[in-house]
Amino acid sequence: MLGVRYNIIEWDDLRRELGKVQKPARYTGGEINARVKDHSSVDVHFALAFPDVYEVGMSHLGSQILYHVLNSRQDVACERVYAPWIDMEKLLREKGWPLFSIESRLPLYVFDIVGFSLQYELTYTNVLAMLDLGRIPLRSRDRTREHPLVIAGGPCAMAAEPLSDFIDAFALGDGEELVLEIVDVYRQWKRSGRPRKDLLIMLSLLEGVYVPSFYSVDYGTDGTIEAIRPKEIPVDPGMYAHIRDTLSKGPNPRKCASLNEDKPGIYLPPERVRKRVVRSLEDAPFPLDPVIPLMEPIHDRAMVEIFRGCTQGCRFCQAGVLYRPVREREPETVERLAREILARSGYDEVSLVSLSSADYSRIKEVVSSLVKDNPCAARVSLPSLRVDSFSVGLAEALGTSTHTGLTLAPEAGSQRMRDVINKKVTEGDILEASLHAFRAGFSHIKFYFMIGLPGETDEDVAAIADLAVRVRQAGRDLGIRPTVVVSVSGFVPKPHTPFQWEACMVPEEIARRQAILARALRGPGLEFRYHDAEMTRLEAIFSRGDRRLGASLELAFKRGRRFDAWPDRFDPVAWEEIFRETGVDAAFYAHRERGKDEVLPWDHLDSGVRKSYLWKERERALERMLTRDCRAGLCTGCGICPDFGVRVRLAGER
Amino acid sequence: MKIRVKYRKGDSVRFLSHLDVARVIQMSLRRAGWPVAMTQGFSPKPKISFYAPLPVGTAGEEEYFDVVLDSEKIPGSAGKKGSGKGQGRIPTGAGAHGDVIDLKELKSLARALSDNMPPGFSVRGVSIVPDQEESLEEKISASEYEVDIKGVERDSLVSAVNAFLREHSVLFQIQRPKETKDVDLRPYVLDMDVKLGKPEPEERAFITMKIKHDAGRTVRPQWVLACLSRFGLQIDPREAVVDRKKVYLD
Ligand code: SF4
Repeated sequence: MLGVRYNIIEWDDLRRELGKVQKPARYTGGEINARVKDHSSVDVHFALAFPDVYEVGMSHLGSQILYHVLNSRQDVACERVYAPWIDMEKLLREKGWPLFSIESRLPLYVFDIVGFSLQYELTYTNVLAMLDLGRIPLRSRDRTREHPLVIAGGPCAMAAEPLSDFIDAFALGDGEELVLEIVDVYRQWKRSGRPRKDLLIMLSLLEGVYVPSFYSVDYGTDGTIEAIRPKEIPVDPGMYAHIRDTLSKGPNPRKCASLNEDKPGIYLPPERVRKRVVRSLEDAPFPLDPVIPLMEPIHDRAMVEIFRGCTQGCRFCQAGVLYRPVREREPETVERLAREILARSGYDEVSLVSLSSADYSRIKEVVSSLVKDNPCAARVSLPSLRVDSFSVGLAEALGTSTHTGLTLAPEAGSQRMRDVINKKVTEGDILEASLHAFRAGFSHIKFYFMIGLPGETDEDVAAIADLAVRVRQAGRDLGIRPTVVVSVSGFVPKPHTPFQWEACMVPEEIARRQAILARALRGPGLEFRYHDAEMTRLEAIFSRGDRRLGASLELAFKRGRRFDAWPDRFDPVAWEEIFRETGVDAAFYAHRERGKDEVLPWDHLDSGVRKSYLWKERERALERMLTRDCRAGLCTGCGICPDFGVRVRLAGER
Repeated sequence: MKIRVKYRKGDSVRFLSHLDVARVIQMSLRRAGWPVAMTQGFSPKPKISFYAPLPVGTAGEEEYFDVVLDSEKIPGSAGKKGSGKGQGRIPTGAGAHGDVIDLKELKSLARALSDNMPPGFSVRGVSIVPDQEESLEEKISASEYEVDIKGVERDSLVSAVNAFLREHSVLFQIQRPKETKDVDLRPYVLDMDVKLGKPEPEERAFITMKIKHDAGRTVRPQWVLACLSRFGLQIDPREAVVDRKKVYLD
């Protein structure tokens, strides 16, 4: 039951206005498998909020999983809300309409819980805009019992300190179990009639929930963080008893939240908050009836997650740390899910998704079985292939259209740099994979590279172009006229990776290196694409930032910054001004190397991979030492399995 | 064998673009298990043709598409070729293939399709298209639209419509990203009429327009509305709710 008074925008009013905005179907819902529940029959209204446009949000598998998990509960109504495009925001403000969910057009402020999905730092201004348009106070401390609980999950939640003033609680790690525990705690709290602060306390007792307002951050004179500590939270006797009960019976005995025995009535949240890990994907819920958008999403296909986690150990890769350990689905389950989803959805393509799909231990049998037999004669596709002949062979077996071309990511051009980042791919692998691709009929190969990696020299940059030229030559030797596309992005040292201490290169230097490539990659059959170096800097600032950036975000929101990841919306000059006015030194966040013992803004959030392991990996990087994949059974000691009591699970070894 | 499907793009899905509608229908056909024939070649596409596409924002009561079925896979009549001697079997015209489909089978396919369409869409009829028949595009002679507007002054509406109809030529400038083009709307407007709704709570009115299709060329009701301002009617055409009620086939 909704406790707040509200009006729903009449359809007749809405349809007379939507002709004024681009792609109005973004806001009208009505999809197959969208769930519209009777609001009087549910207890908890959950808004799944995605801070980007509809067609991006609808392509996100994690949101489909959570939508399914939440709506499977009879007492929960989960509805979706996306960031309105600029024209729609203008319309909402002109008409005085609040941001609304697309299922029932409920205003955002009437929901009990608003849960944001944080996939990318450059969506943070959209988070603020959505709160404001949804008539929810921006800052957590200004919200009362009448306002929704605002939570956020997704990979960025593991280091989203710049958002900590605006988000009541972050959900860390795998969400499919945690989100229901959050709903249960919410219900319990709602019935108890206790103040809002008690809700946050109760949530902080769950493994994987981080309540930023319960932590204080001390800064040194040089601006670096001295300490991040849990605050002593005074609680009344009823709450005290509740905490004692919860702590004594588990279910999370590893939690280190505690009651201060010397000071009765004081609760101490855990010093470090652990991410949640779903033990087995095999038992995890997966939507057989995903919502099928009526307008074309970015990824227009059915998706089956074949495994979670990746232990290749690329040293720049945040996902490789955040989603550890590897957990595979059984091949029979993958095939059953794929066939059923295809038959029910009508998609003509199914993508077997993971961070590195060729690593799936049963990939060959699953692919050949699905290609041979599926209900819609659908295509099977694998995103994120490895750079080797085996992967290209898979692409060939899939009957991947040779027109669309093949995408491979060697990430670095020279062997030296590939060793530094632990990308265990040799030039031989790259050439062999390319030759294989050309022979299989692909004439268009796209390579992804990064520039600005630690210790990179001009020779390493030039090696990218050399490699592309050599691949082109290999194609010509076979008598074809290949197109080699080189797509280059600036490296952002990400939290929770071995490179988290590194500096991000300044935009001028990235631009200079781009120019080296632009010169070298002229000529027929070569194409060069690159990302805006200023956008790389903004991403570096917000992914590595601390709480002091909250003021910049709020000002940016007020100045109308939205969709910063969209090249035509991104405005580096405006951002420079915002940082100047809020006293933020971009270089301090983006371009400074951190010391070994410096407290990093995300140190209190535990990914399971030990900081000492990350540091060791960083040192190995500088010595160009490779670290093997633990998937094959030899542990490299990152720490998550013993510390979290989890393990790598390959198919067939349940 | 070619089947013509008459369907509805309802009020709730009016904001889908033509491409969205085509995608939704293709997916619905697959869900419903229609044995749609595919084109030959490197990236096979289902053989479906759409006609007189509706723009974003416009709903349609009687829309059409043609779809070619793969005779080998038609349930109940799979692979059966002949002159349609069996009872209840209809020869699909003097087609080169001479395929047949069971009438009941066709109805059940129609039902399955309707059931598998998203809310807002439905099947309103199916028929078999004789092989030699000309394309539907050639046969569409006119569309009838109903335009629902709110907050207009009745007298000025009626007089603007009458004034428009008295003209011999009404030029409208179509703005496209790269060019602007003048088109004379008047010859396309075969008929236009005003129906007044209840005056309360807000002035509401309906304009019906019969608009000509000329070898695939036609004009939009919104353009006509925009031109009514020249005859004294102040209205934002983007706020009008436009439904195509009927498509006239020769
Ligand atoms: S603890 Fe060992 S086996 Fe487990 S994920 Fe880390 S490196 Fe791999």
